[in-house]
Amino acid sequence: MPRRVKAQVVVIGGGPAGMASALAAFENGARPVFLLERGEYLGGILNQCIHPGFGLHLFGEELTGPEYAERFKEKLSRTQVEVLLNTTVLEITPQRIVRAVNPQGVWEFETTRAVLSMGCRERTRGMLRLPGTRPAGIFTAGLAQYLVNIEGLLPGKEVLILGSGDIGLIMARRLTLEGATVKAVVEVRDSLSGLLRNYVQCLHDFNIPLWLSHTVTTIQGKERVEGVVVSRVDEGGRAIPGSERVVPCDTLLLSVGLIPENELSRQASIPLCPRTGGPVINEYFACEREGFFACGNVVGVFDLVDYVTLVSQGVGEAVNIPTAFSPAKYHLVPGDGVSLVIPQKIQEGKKGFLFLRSLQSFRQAAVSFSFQGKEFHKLRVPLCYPSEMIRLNIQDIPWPSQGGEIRIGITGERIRGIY
Amino acid sequence: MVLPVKESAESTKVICIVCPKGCILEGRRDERGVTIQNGCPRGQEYAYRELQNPCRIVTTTIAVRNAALKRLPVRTSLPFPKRRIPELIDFLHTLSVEAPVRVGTVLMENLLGEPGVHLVATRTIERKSPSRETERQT
Ligand SMILES: Cc1cc2nc3c(=O)[nH]c(=O)nc-3n(C[C@H](O)[C@H](O)[C@H](O)COP(=O)(O)OP(=O)(O)OC[C@H]3O[C@@H](n4cnc5c(N)ncnc54)[C@H](O)[C@@H]3O)c2cc1C
Ligand code: SF4
Repeated sequence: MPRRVKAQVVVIGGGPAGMASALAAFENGARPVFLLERGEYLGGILNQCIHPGFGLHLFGEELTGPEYAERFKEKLSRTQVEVLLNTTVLEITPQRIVRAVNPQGVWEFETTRAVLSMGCRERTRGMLRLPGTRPAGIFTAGLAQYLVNIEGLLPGKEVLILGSGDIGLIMARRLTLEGATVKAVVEVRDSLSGLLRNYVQCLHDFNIPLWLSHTVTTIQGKERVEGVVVSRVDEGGRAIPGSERVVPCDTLLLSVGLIPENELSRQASIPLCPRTGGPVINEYFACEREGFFACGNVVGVFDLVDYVTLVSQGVGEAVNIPTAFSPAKYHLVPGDGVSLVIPQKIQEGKKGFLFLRSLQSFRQAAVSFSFQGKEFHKLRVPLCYPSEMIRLNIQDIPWPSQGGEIRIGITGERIRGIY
Repeated sequence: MVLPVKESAESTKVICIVCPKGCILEGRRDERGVTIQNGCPRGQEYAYRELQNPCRIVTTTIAVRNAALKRLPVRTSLPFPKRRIPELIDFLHTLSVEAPVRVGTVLMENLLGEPGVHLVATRTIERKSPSRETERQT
């Protein structure tokens, strides 16, 4: 027999998003609040991100991932938020019954508010359809990070990294420091995906080459990776015949993107956004199903943990706001040059943050808002990079008096190369 | 901006990372010293430091005994000279600490003789308990 528990708030996932929303819900008077985490520890992905670069916006100092997590773990331990570790949520029903299992047995929470904060997972080789044999030695960058930083294991000695996002860059440095040779970072696009600062401190500092407009076309080796074939790609991203070169290596790291983890959201019949891969939400981060909120990387991939904390604190407050699930007036859609818009729905336009991600790097950029084909607001941004979300205050935008679809585009002078 | 020269520096390019603009600054040496070309004052100051003695915050892990976890993440309290980082990593590989450890604990002062650069634990790690606790973390 499962243990039946009634709750006001159940938070699923104990990363930075779950910790901040559970804390804020508790501080705003919600009782009881449960925080369910399948791992042995709170902190989520932060535990393995031992590099500095967290907390500058929120704390005004540069913390490492574990330090950032510790601040919230400590705060939580001073509240009566019920933290259940080693507790995996298996199912959530549309009526907000949360079924979970841990070493003590099966649990069934009947909750007024459910907060989804399961984070994201990494894209794997299968999703890339890389041809070649299936030898050992192929890892996602995040798995390699876990092995090195948590388990103290080195995944290989000679490494090639596919993808120039921040995780790939950070792992290039980490593996080099631990004694591996990183042969190159290979990027299919014609510009750097990660932050310039990570390029300088992770590749340039260690003389690791970055090959833009290149991709991995074949993996060689039977038991273990012995080499990979790298080819140049044309404007359309197709490999150019005759440009192949073989790079001998024993390890290939894939740093090719993250996908929000939404199996549970699907089960609960929560509408998802095809662009972000996460639930459709409004400015309260309320989903399009009564009683459900979502925050952090489960909504869409946030690169700055500070922003994750900020929106999650908002969710903790919103669990007590009865109008959080009222119908939306505006529907935001990504236009040209924009890859991501969060939130997708807005009720009144009076509170909250709007996050945008550009598709490419631009100089002298402009963010343009249009309604019924006419631009009603324009904002200049000197520089914008896909690796850094643009954060705007929703109330600063002069929303049209009539509701409907709002298209948001970004134009500017394309930046190619590293910067 | 003209700065005094301390060590022989040829024309060197520095990518400024002080702000997202990412200017490329060039350090040139002539009889008057090191001249930093391009960039704003903050960038020039950064480039000057980069040419003199570049330093970085170093993060890694060290072994931890009597804990449920194998590795303790650590950092340097201040930026550490870049050219000595491999030496530092080798040294840190030889260290191990005993759980429990609290985040923020200074584990060693003046690393490799660098004044003011300490080794700091970045995570709290409890002593291994005989039975695994699941209910409430303390
Ligand atoms: C490699 C890497 C480097 C990064 N570097 C930086 C950086 O330098 N600076 C910065 O600001 N940000 C950085 N980020 C981004 C930042 O870490 C993330 O934005 C943030 O951690 C997202 O928080 P989250 O709580 O949404 O997800 P997560 O941290 O992924 O937490 C999700 C939690 O949910 C749990 N969970 C999932 N499913 C279930 C289930 N069914 N039942 C119970 N629990 C479940 C997971 O175990 C996990 O603990 C980095 C991210 C990565 C991956
Ligand atoms: S030189 Fe000045 S403007 Fe240029 S990147 Fe550095 S800080 Fe920014």
